Amino acid sequence: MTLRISSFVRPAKFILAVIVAALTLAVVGHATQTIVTSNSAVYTYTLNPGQTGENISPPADTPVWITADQTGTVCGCDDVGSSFMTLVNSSVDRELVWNGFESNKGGLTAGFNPTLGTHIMYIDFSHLVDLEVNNGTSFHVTNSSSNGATANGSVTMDW
Amino acid sequence: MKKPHLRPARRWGRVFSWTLFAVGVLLQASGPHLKIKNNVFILPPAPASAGKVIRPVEIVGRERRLQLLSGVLTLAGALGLAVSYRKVLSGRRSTGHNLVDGTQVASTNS
Repeated sequence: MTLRISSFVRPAKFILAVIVAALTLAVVGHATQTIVTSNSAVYTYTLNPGQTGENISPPADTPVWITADQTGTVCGCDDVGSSFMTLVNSSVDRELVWNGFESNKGGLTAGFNPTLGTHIMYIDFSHLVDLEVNNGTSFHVTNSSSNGATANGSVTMDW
Repeated sequence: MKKPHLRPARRWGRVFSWTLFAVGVLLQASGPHLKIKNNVFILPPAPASAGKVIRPVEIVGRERRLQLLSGVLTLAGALGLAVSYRKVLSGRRSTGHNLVDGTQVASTNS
């Protein structure tokens, strides 16, 4: 009987030790990856015509590098675009301050405004999808198209 | 056969190590994890509610704090367990302690 118990206990101890080691490696590995990942976050959007995405509030008084890319529409038509800018959520001015480039040869975009709906930067090829001011501390993506196409894309923020 | 008792300090040390380890793993398992792709955090889609504001800095900061706490607790727990059970892990059969409750187990050397 003693021998039988021992034959189970000894492998069980090492299996338990291996499980503990594997869990530790997995947890510490994931934690390390999370900690060393740069201060970048991407927000992906899928917007129907006339729809506005969630409001995004960048960190206060920190310059944020924003790259926005429209990756396509569900209609299958070509509406791919890309754009970038720097933006500051200024607690002194109580408004967003930005400077950058519109998509598809749209030229420069620059401004400062806390008013809802103020255009910041076009994202897509046709200049129908853009970033707009929501209030003094946040912005959102708006699909202004009326052709029935759903816009898909992403807004990446580095701070 | 009468089971030998561990000294209270060692017993509590083991309980403490298991607790640290379990809390660390549970934190890791229960947290709202952000996906990471191309060295960038993927923000989760917010629930469709008007006026919902996404704050990337707070979301990423919260995730980092949670992961750091989880990693430290798990690693500390695992190291504590390794120290507590070092004789068992190193294969010294004379001690013959069970990994879980520290009780003595039968030896195959009989």
